[in-house]
Amino acid sequence: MRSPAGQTLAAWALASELGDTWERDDLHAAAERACRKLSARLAMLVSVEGYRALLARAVHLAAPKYPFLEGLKGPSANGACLGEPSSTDGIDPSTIRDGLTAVLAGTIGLSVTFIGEELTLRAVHDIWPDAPVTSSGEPAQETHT
Amino acid sequence: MTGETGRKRVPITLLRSEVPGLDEVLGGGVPEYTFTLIAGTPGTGKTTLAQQIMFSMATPDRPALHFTVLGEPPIKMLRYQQQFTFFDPDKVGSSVRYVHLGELALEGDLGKVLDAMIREVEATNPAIVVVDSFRTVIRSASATGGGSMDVQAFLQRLALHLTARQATTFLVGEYAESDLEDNPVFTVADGVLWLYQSVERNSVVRKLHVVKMRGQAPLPGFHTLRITDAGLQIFPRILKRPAIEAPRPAERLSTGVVEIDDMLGGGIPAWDSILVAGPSGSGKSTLGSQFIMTGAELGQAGVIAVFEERPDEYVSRSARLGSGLGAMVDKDLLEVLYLRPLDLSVDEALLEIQAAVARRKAGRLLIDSLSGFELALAPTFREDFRESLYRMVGALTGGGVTVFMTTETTMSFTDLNLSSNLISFLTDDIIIQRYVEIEGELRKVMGVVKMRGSNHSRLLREYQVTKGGLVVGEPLTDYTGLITGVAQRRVDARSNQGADRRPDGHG
Repeated sequence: MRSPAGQTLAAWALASELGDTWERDDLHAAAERACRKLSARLAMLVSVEGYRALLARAVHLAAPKYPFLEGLKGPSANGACLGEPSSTDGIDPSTIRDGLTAVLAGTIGLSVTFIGEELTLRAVHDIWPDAPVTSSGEPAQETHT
Repeated sequence: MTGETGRKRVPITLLRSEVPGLDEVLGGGVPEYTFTLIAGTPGTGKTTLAQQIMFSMATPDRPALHFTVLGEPPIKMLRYQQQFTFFDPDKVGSSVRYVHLGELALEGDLGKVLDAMIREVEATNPAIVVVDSFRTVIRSASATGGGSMDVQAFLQRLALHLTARQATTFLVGEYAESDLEDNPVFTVADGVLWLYQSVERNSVVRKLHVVKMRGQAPLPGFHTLRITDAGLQIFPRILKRPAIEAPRPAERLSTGVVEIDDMLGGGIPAWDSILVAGPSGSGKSTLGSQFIMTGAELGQAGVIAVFEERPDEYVSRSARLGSGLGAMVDKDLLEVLYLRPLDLSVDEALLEIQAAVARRKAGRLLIDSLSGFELALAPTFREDFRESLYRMVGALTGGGVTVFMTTETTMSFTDLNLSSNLISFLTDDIIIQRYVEIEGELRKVMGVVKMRGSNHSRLLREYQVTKGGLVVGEPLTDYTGLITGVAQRRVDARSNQGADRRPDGHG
């Protein structure tokens, strides 16, 4: 379930939160919404602390390829889930999108690793009922545009 | 329910845990609305038992609420528990809900922990509540003074709230036996299930003891348990005797060897237990196989429990005996059980044997051999072997099964050691086999030394183990000293050489 299927699912979730049209600044907000939804649902299974640990690991794994992610500090007192990234000035929006997708995909993938595909995909489906998750548990190979 | 005094008693509903063997040990199930502590040292299976009970009992109408506190984080618990077949992902989130109270517990304020629990219970209205690990809540609170509430008050209120909310509660905690003294948890709890694990040499043995269960009459003693991918299975120490309505029949069962039947006074009395004791190679297994096959020829199913070799080897070795055991297996008239060696408990073996007997509706059972059985046991169970065997034989013969057992004797030529482990007292009938030296030749003799409640031959007869089974010759009446292993022909028999006819016809 780790990439590319998780990547596809995360891309779908991000696109779903983003809507049909988007601006550069909307990307982080959409990722933040997706993160909160995942947190609310997955924390029921793995606890809030458990979800934070998964998210931190996902950021750590994605950051070498997307250095701007290093600024993400995870949940903060003001209710943020992802936190604010380092400056994204001058970074191509598609790179920002890919980086944020990698964090969400990593979080989902780590959840699959620890608690299994069935529970994780069920949680994803509860959040986004239209997410392209097939009955076999694999996300369909298509993206939300 | 109305008692003898005419009082109406409060009915106590027993919830089936569906953990194999547990309900039987508890006296029928878990009493509803009780507060039960599952205690033991690490690695004994406490969390698995609690989860197994929870998944079994939880339904959408009667959901379960699982509080994880300190100890195993939920992410790891979910990871490992879903390896068990009882874990049903479909129930997670609907019938089974997990709530983590680790952060609150770390603060050490029992008042806050209690408030959070009550809030969740009121929101979920669970029928089952599990708190894992309860010990860590108390330990954390003790380290900080308990905050707004002391341990005793916390326990009293928790028990009261959960019972009043009609929840059946299981507290999971790591406790040592020394914790039993002056610990309010054990006083407040309605039930205490204690899990033990002992390691001896290369074997690990787990046991369950119901220390208390209010309103119930649990089975006393320590019950072996095994953890498999299906979860825990408990092996109750006391076997239930199947209800037999028919009286014990007067029938005698043939061993398959006419001469041995004659020695036994007409065969083995039905529902008896018989022990055939002899040294290695004396034909004990062959006779046992003949006993089972004779039953099969009459349409009577049998079970063979083997310990020293695998069933396929055992069956193929019997091919030389008439139609062989393989044909019986093919006709569903025989089940050959191979019981896991070296870490077996007697109770586990007994249940497997009893289950096989019930499956096949078997009237004949061969245990080949008691020596192998004892060796297959984990060392800790060997001390209880005789007592356990006594229970097993009683349960099986009481259930209408004729039990044929073999045991290997250690023999010297001047001593007859009937049974190295003093098991002869528990059987109804005993046949001994032994080697004797007759005129410089090593030969085999057998005799019946005990038959409870019936007459039998007192003659020793020579026999041979042939491809077709045991062939028994005439009584060796011309010799003395057979029991010593070195026979001497009687002086008055020397003139009658023809009387010494060997079972194969050679003389």
